Amino acid sequence: MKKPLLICLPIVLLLSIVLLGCGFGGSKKATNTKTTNTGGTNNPSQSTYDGFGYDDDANGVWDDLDKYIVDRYPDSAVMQSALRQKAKALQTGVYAGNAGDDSAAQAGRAAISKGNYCLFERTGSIEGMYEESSLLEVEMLKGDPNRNKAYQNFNALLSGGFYGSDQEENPCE
Amino acid sequence: MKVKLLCGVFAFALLAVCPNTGQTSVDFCSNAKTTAIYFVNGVWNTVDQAEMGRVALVKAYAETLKTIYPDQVFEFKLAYNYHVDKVRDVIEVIGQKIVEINAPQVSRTSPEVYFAMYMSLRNVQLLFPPEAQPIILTIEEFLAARITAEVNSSALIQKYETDLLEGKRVLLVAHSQGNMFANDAMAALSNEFPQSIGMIGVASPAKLLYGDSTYYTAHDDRVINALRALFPVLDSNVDNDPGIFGDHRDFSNHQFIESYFSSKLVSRRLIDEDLASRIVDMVFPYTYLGSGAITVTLTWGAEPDVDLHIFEPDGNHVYYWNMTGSFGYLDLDDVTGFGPEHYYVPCGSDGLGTYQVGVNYYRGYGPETAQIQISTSDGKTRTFIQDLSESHGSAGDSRPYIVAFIDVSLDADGKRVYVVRQ
Repeated sequence: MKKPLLICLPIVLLLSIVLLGCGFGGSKKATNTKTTNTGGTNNPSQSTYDGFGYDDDANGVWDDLDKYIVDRYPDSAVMQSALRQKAKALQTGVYAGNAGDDSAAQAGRAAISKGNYCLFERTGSIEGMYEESSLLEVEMLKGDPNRNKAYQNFNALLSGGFYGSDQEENPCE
Repeated sequence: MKVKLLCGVFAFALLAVCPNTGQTSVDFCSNAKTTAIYFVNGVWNTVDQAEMGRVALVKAYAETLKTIYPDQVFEFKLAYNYHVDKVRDVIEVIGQKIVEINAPQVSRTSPEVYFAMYMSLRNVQLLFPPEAQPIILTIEEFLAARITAEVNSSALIQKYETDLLEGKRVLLVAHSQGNMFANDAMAALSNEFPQSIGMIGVASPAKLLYGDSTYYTAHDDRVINALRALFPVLDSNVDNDPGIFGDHRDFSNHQFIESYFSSKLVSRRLIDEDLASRIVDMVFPYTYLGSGAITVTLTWGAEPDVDLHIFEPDGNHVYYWNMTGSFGYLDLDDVTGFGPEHYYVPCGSDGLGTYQVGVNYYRGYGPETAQIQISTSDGKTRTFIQDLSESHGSAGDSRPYIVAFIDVSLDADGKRVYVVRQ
């Protein structure tokens, strides 16, 4: 009995601590997020639903993310474009995870990497890239179990790999 | 030497204070002296978050290093820590700590032992009363997490060892749980390559260091402090608190970029200086193995002989009896256990089509496990595990077990595209 207790107790304690430390959005800055809807349910039209979100304007970005991006940078077409590029990359990851497609997961990871380089270029700092990218990822996943499940599978497909050298000369599309 | 070190660090510090916005492409096919810098991410990182850690290192150092050392190549890679699910990942950390405390210096337990324990427990769990089930499930999770930790560590060690044998210096920048994996690699490799592999730990949950390792843990890192309340952990050594105003660190004071690598933090300055001095001091190892567009490395356990077999796109069969192929070379054949065996295709020589990667369990007395790692010149590496039940001798040479395929094709711009698949 002693050994299982020794194993269980630290697990429960550490789990609570890590949940406290990382689970609340992982960032104080997350509280600064400009509000947005999360459902993608404005004018829902079944034909534009791809299983994970609506894309009524057919620009390749789910409508809820589109709204988030416009709300966050209403006056900056450049930042909107960089965030849409990153959003499309994250969506590629969701589709790849859902399909369990290894090659698509590799392509998704490369697109995510390129999107991060682009965000660095547009924000001019590592901190800026991190903030924009993290908030967008949180926005994509919050309250949507389907996206979460597929995205987790995407990460699992890439787990244990080594990656490098995806830097594009011109990362922003 | 001291003057050289001071000059290098000073020049680096001057250049590194400004984040570069230039683009730096890495040539994985260069013959220049190469340093592989790995970001080893922590627990619960999505690939996006882990990739940002790598990009942060690229943006902080790549241009500066290229300016100071124009005749060298610096590869920035991500060693993406296995992410299974949140509960299992945390249990994995606990498991690593328990192993570290109980047996820090002894050889590691193979994943198969944990797997056998896991399966035994699954088979007999119905014999336990219902009230014991939560404990049984916890132990099961623990064992499952240990399996992934062991597999992950062995994959990392194999990759770094291959780099070192190919003449590359290896520098690990590890964050949080990544320190546990990087520590395993340092324990395994730092005796053989003491001046060629180094580690900079950030927010380290480890209790000790191996070889040429340093670490930076903030006094107010809440995750590490919480872990310290339960297990022995290295002392904190950085006052990273910028004061009430201007503290932009995350709530836990633990995340890599926000809480350690932000340009305004003390820890960032220390990491910059440490990395700069290591680039000056570390020694390039002797080049034992060739490297190129495609490299395949095979390792296994203590059984004497497992062989690597490659079928090249034109059908040429490369193995110990025919070590020179149409495109590549088997430049290391091992018959005394553990490996590695190593096949490579020089840059520019990789023929288009599909390469088949196989193994034959040639000689041994019990079940064995082969680990095959395939790297391509686009910077990607994949690891495959293959269980081998019994040896086949030379009878198995003509029909080795095919573990993976490498498809080489051209994209619209005429650049080679590599797809590695099972």
